[in-house]
Amino acid sequence: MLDALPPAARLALTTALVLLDQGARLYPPAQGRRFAGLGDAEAEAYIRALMTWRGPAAELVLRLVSVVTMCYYQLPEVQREIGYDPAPYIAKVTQRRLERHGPGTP
Amino acid sequence: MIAGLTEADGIRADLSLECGVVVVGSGAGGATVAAELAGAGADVIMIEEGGYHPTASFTPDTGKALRTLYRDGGGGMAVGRPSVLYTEGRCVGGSTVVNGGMSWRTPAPVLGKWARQEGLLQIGEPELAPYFAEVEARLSVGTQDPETIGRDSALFAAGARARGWGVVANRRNQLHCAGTNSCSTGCPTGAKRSMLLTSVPQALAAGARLFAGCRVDRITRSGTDVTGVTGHVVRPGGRRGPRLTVRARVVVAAGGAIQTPALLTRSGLRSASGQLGRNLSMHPNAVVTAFFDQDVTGWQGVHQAFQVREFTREGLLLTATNLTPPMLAGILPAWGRELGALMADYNRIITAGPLVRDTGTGRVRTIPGLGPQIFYQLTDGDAARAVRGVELTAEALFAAGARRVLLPFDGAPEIRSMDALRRLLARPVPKRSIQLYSVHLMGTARMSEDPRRGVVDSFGAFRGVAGLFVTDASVFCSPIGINPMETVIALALRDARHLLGQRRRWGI
Repeated sequence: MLDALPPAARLALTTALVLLDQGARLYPPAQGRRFAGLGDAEAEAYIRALMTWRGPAAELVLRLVSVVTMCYYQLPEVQREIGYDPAPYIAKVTQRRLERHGPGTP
Repeated sequence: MIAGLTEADGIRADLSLECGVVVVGSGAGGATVAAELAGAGADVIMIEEGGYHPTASFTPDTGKALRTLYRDGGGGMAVGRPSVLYTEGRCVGGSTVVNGGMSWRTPAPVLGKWARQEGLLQIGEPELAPYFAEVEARLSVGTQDPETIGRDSALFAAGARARGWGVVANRRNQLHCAGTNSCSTGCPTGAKRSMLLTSVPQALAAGARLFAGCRVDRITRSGTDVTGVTGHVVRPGGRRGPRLTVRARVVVAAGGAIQTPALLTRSGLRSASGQLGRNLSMHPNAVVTAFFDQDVTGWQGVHQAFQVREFTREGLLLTATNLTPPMLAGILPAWGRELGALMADYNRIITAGPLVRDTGTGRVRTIPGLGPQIFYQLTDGDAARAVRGVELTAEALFAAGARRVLLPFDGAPEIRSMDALRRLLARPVPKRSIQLYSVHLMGTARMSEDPRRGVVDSFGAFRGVAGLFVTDASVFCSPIGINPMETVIALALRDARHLLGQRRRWGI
């Protein structure tokens, strides 16, 4: 999905992700580690701390989280875990359509 | 290999072409005009910025669809308070490949208002009725086969009917839709009669040529006469490929209400009316997320089987629309473990909401280095109607058995009853906190017979440049309050026939 963004948006997003990652070094409980090096609890606390900001910075963090979340729920194994598995269903109703309306149906 | 189709990866060197009519865009407006003109023997070239993706390539993979079928990965954002997220199709067939296929005639009062305010010719209901009928026959417009209606639509309709509200079965351009709920990722059965499967192949069969994956940079002219377009092949990652030059006697701009004014503007064209790029309407919509005790599996069954029409006089249309997991996760007001807990109930969720016939307008401006950017300010009245629409949607969902709902207002608590909702709404909802989306973009090259008000005339002719026409939702004189596809196609058909009536003049 990110590949499809226009170059300026891609650059802005990449910059924001780098800032988010490296910005963790300034978060005291991280003890100088980047975001990618934090444990789950520390990472969550860091994001929560960012979420308490106001204004455009908070909006930016929110959008980043939203993008990452979308990518996570794009994973087939995550989708199956929440009960979303459309391929067999699509195959079934496509077959039903063909049986009822004939193979010549476009 | 499809006769007449040239894809970007098949173009290795600069191309210079000649034709009678070059059509920019292959969506509802562009494909319709191309098929009509080519069918009448005109030499037509269509240029589409997006790629050619056949039905066999469509899967329910949201990420793949966003990459291949949508402009900018579906991530458009109108600047304002609140901002409005919007999407545009970008592929052969345009937005008709990824829309829900809702096919409704322009409401007669809207046409009457356009005729009165703009002095438009041949725009009344009696004049347009034959075009609508023809479009509906050509695209197999009708209601769903009952077995394809999913539980989310059925429950939402039942809730609305329990409140005594008028509900109508949606009309769509489908031939025995299977109910795969894949409208927004491309119909995998071909049941949706998008332009990809109707007017585009019709145009190609009549001899038109289609260049996919090619972007038009400018409309060219000599004095006040249009002479064609220049552009380039789009390589992966948006890189510029070989140049494309098309000499034509007629240019039809049909890139939609954002791209068309942007193309005209970067071509150095100005409208004496000062209205080019202005008067943008968006039909903003909001999403209410409702949780039920039992499984709903909203992804099984057709997308938006019904519309609640009880509040159309207020400019509100309500409907249930299933969102795929990535789309839903992207809008829920939670993250981390909290989001995980909400998403665990994915199969017990119905998403529904209002579409607002907006009274405020926005503007498309081209920002150097960034391209077209929308600026749109929601009016207080439209914000109030969006909130009212959210309240009505929640009312229908509670009537259908929802246990709790999440509202599209930043910071709003989870709501477990209508009483709780009414208490919450007793205080004003800050306008900036409303989360809004749009898939209907209209009005940035308005039709009018008054040159001081309109960018184009009653038949899409751009004033001040001979041989340049606009046939997409840009020409709308106001929002129409319902899904715009059929209006776009009917107007395009009418404009094409008007153009054919002037063949000798244009030499096509």
